[in-house]
Amino acid sequence: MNVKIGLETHVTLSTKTKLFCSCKKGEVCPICMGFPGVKPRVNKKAVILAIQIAKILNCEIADKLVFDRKSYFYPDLPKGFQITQYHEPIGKNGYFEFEFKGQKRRITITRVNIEEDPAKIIHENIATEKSVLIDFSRSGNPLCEIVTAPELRSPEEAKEYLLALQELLDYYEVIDAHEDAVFRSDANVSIENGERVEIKNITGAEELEKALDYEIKRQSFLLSLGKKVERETRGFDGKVTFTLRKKEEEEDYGYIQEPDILPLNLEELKEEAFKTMKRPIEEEVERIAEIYKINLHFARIIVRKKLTEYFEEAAKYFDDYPTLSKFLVVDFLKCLNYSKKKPNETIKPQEVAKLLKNTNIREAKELIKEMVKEDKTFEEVESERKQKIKQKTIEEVFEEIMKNEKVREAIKQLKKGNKKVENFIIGEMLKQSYYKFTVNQIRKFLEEEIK
Amino acid sequence: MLKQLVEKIKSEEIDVEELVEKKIEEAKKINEELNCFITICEDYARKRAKEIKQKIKKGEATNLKLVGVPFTIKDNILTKGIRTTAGSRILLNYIPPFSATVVERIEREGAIIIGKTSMDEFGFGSFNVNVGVGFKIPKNPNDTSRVCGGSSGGSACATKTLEIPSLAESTGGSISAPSSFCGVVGLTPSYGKVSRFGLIDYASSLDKIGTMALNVEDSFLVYDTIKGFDENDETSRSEERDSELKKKLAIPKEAFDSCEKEIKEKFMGSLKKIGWEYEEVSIPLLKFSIQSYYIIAMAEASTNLARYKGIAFGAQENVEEKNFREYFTKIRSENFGFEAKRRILLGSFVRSVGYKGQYYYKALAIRKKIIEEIEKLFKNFDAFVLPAMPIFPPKIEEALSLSPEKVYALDICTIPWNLCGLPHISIPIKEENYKQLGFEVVCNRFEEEKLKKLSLEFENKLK
Repeated sequence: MNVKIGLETHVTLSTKTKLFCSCKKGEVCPICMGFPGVKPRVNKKAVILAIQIAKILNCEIADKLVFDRKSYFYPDLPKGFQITQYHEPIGKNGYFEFEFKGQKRRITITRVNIEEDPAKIIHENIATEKSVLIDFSRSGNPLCEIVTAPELRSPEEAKEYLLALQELLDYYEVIDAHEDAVFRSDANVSIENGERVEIKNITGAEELEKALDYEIKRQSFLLSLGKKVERETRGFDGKVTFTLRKKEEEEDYGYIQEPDILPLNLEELKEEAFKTMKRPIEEEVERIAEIYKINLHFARIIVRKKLTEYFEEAAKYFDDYPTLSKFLVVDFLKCLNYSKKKPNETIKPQEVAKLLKNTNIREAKELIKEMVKEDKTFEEVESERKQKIKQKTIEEVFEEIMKNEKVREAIKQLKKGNKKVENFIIGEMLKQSYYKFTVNQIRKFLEEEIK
Repeated sequence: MLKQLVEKIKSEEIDVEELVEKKIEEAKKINEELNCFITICEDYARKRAKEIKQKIKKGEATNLKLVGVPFTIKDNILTKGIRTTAGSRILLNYIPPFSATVVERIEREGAIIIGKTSMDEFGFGSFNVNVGVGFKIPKNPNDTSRVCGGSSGGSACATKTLEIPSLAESTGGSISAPSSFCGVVGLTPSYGKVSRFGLIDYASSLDKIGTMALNVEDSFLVYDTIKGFDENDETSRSEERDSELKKKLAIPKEAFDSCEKEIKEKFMGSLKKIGWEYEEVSIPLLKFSIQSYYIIAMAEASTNLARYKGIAFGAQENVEEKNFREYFTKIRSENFGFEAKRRILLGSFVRSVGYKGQYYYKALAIRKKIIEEIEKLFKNFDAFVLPAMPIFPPKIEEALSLSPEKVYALDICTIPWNLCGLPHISIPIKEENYKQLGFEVVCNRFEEEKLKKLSLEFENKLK
């Protein structure tokens, strides 16, 4: 089936303050509450971040910064209009590449623009059905809207696009990584012989896939019955999409140029944006792969998952870089994901270095779990482990060493009568039990064991 | 002269508390007849007068330029703690939590606000008869059956009768028109020269705060304290320009031609007194300035007024309506006056899909063209001079019965300069009865210094 999906995604820029006032995010003031008489003051940092996004998405960047007023009557707009960019977006005609099912996909980014976030309407937890709450603390947050051409071909691909986009923008530190700052998208979707339907305000990638899945099924069903898919705007409640407005009720936003902000020449801000931008992702990958002589695949994951700094710090204390990189990518990352932590929210890189230095890889894989989960240093987990092992019986210690393939091989040899391997096994038992047992005790145990 | 008054207050020859008390009493008295105030803030004024007196006694007022000067403020300029309505019922009980930059600046210099003056609702008018629902029409102090001009009518009326300066505001002629009708000096600075922070917006790309006073010197004294960049208004700036004095004036033909015969004669008589060389200049595009102005102004106004919908701002009511739209409609229908509704509707129309190209964009293009054309003309002379109004103040009933097109067309003497953001001043040509007329001088953008020089000389010669 021929499906066309286009997305308009809103991301919150990683500024400290709001777009047109000096409020920190979460605060309110007369400007972001739209008091009579206030005027907007453009947050230059937000403009710089938006320029960086436009650059990351390979867009042409505008020479002038121009804002427009988008008017509609709804309680979420304190001024009754939203300051956005309509005629001259800060970026246009770009593209974004990502991998989907092992293939490279290139999606056209038609425009990138800056706008202010409306207030949040809260319908839940209200005593009477008649009222809603309006939370103005979000009002005026700096948003960047990223608009694609209708080139996505399935709900799954749309989801992957969004995840890849999020990962990339996260890498460049241009978007708010705060939990509340999830990506909000409006999706345009049409199937062959049907009209375009817009689904408004879908939160995150998982919801997006669900909403699109439902909508495509709905549209196909209508067509299979010989009915028409009407052009309309729909909402999504987490399960189904529903009509918000029919075509004839569509809003006319009556855009005019924002008269309270004079057009600003972007030359200086562009220069600063490019200067302060993080190194492009592929350059960074090549750089660390080359310096540390590590596998390109691991290097890429390290960079994409924002582990570069962590890796480079740990590498100061542990110079087997291939092992370190593999360990971080495979084991450490798994633990982070499991604990829902970011690299800077857990143990220090030195601890990982110490762990790899002082244990074998098998032990390290076990111990890292606890270190990340419980925020424990290497010394802490190591002494606890010793403590635990001291309480173990000789049988339990044996069981432990039998997890090692070399030991299992040695036991086989011993059973065949090869006495030479006995010392190796005894050595392993001693190490594993922290010399709790004597050589004689172990020898006696082994004789019983191989009978 | 304010300068002398300030010196007398500083030297305590005039007691500031007594002065303020006297002005409050006068204000209350004239307001009964003329309706020039929406609010008289007597308690605030008395408290300020006391503070200022203390300051003078402690020697802290020596360098302040407006010490103890009673002021009136147009009611669309925010005054912290003092009700500010913009002449609209929708803001009937609005008490702003902060003051406009201009208010802060004059208060820093020791000014004392005694009241907020009447205006056309949100500035929507030329005669001050388009007052908000429940507001009173101010009357011309020279003839109470006539209008005092708008939209800053209350300011002109108060300046004339109380003989104290006022902060007023013009979008398309709202300073010149009432100054001309009441017989005071009205100064409209270049767009951007005075911060609009704290001005309740009518049309943001056209609104300008200016002054009204009894003479040119006082006008510029007040202007000098309020001008210049303000970080709270990104369209404001400190830019000043100067050009060589040519001692040559120009009469803009298209505007002059639309004046009444008697106005023309009076004006030409005044021009002779001045004695400078002059020529008539035709600017054919000028006849489109009114359309261009009203389209831009209404388009912007219709967005600026969208915040008054009974949520955070604007009268609030118990909600019985089924949805937001019905609620907004109810609040706005009941609380906006007729002209405000007209401008919101027309403004929404001219920027709507399908009509935007025909109206809004065309209006912007015309504005750009007129600005370019006029900028070129200024190479040949120092200023445009013309009557500030094409007519004498009409009777109130007469003004109320005029069609909007007729009223809009009467703005031809002020709109071109307002559209282009040019500084201009209206100086009274001395008259006995209601037939007051302003001699308007228009200079190039940011040439306020030249405007001052010219108007001081002209004022002298017109006496």
